[in-house]
Amino acid sequence: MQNKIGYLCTYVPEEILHAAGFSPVRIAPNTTPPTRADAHLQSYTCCLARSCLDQALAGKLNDLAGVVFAHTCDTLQGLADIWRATFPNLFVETVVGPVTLNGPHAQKYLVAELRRFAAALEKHFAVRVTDDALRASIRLYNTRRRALADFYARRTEFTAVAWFNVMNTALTTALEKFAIRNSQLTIRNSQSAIRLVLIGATIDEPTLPQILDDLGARIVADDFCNGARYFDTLVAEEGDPIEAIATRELTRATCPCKHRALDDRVERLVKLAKDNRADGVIFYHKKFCDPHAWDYPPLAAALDRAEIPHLLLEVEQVAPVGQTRVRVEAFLELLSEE
Amino acid sequence: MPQEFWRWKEYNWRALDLSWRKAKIITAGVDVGSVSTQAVVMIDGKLYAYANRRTGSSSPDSARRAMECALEGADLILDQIHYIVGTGYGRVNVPFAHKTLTEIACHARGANFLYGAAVRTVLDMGGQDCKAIKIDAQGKVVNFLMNDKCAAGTGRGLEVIADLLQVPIEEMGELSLRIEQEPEPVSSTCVVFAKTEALGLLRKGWKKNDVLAAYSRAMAHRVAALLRRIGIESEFVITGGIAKNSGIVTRLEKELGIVARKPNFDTQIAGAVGAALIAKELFAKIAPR
Repeated sequence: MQNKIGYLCTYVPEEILHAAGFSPVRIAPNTTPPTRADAHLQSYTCCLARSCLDQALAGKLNDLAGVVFAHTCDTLQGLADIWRATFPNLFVETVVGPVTLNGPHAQKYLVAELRRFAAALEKHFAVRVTDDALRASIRLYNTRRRALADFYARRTEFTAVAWFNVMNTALTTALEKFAIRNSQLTIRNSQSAIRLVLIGATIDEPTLPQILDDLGARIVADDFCNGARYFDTLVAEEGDPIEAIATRELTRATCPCKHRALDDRVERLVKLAKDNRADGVIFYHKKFCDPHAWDYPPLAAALDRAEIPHLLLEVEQVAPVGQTRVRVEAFLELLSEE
Repeated sequence: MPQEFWRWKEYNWRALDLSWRKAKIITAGVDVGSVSTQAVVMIDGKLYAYANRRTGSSSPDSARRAMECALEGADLILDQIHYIVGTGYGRVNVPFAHKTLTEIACHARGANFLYGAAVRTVLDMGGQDCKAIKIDAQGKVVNFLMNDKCAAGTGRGLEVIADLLQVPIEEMGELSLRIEQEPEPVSSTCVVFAKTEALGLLRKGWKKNDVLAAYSRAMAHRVAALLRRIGIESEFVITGGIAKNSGIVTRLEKELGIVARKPNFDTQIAGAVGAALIAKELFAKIAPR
């Protein structure tokens, strides 16, 4: 069994961890209300930070050989420091990628940073990260991304809960154990034609997908960190492997913490909704998630201009069923009237 | 038994000049809210009877009781109603409903019927949440926003304060306006914090009316933010139980600089009225011509 290294953000290069002999797994919020984490974090911190830290403090992540952060939002940067201070014997690293992805020095800088990160792994764990190992890892992770993309191409055949289960378990299980099981693939039997695009940071519990299934709506596309954004771009299997990993990070669909051009994300998401003939868009925001909150006004305005109705849901760790359902149901009523 | 200051009156009403016997379509709407339940019966799209009751611990029982209360003395039984729409928090638990719809759609439609087609913004101030709804001339929802989880700024919060100050809930609005100077608002994010603050003010020697004013202002403040987010277009109306509280309505109007159209009916029935109207449309679609 390989040692596991945890990460919270998909800007952490899995291939490098894997090539160093580790099994990278995503640390995700669970549904238990945090108790220990509140001694370290304010209550206005997002549930991702609070729940993940809480699991670590409760000893539930003791099987991890390390935790790797990526430079994205302020909260995760602060969390990296808290983690480092709280678990001094653990390998805690931050991969500081560029914010402006198409800046003139972005590629060169990121390559240097990824090499620094690989060297830090080598030094701390006395391992070697060879180009051959990197190439093998790249191929394996590309295979997983392709499998998810293949599933995604058929996503409207399945229930929203099936979509959630496949996407959510993909990153939280080790690559070697990853498989899309037939038992996960519940076929949807609803005839409703309401087509929705979901946008948000991560989705970690199935309340919303369950409500969408109950109400007969279908998810036609998503923009989640642990959803379509994860597998939309593959790493080139030729050339220098670190260069290839850097190129993927710089060209994949952006999250609100990254920047390519002022309207890059807005244009991409409006196009995503249009290309998928979406009837509406649901913003699934984690409460206190600044990047997505700041991103919302221009996105909402662009959807208004495109005459695509949208709904904002703000949820904490677990979406309240009644409150969420009335909002979603009223939104679907609004869409079906048109 | 000590007086229960939060307890508002349950009642029913019937249009004695109308007879259901000649009606072509009899429909009903049942709005099972978190605090109150209304049943409305309409005959050919006209208001015929309604009842307003407290919601109990069981939604089906609450729905049944409200319906029985509305039909009291009408010699009309449930089976004679052609189509029933359930709405509100307990909508999926109305055992005799043919269809359920959200209270957002129903309040929109109800406001359009009760206040007229010129209504564009509806504020539904209910038992445990608030909804700002933009509607079109047909009473259809264009956009909506709901408040956050907490009960501050809702009917339940008002009941808590009525109990604390020992002021009958129906009198709270008027009393809150009988003050010398408008005080600063109390905390508006949480009903428990608001109660604690109100208690503190009482200890400081504040008069009940002033505490009520401070609480009402906080409530107005809170819902004003919701309305500003969605954008207020006239005409503006308020539905739900809190529309009956003049202290909150007056302060809200002042804060927003817009006057709400005043009703000549019980604002709590708007959701059930909308449900009964939509029931009529739905029945017309399935009824043999």
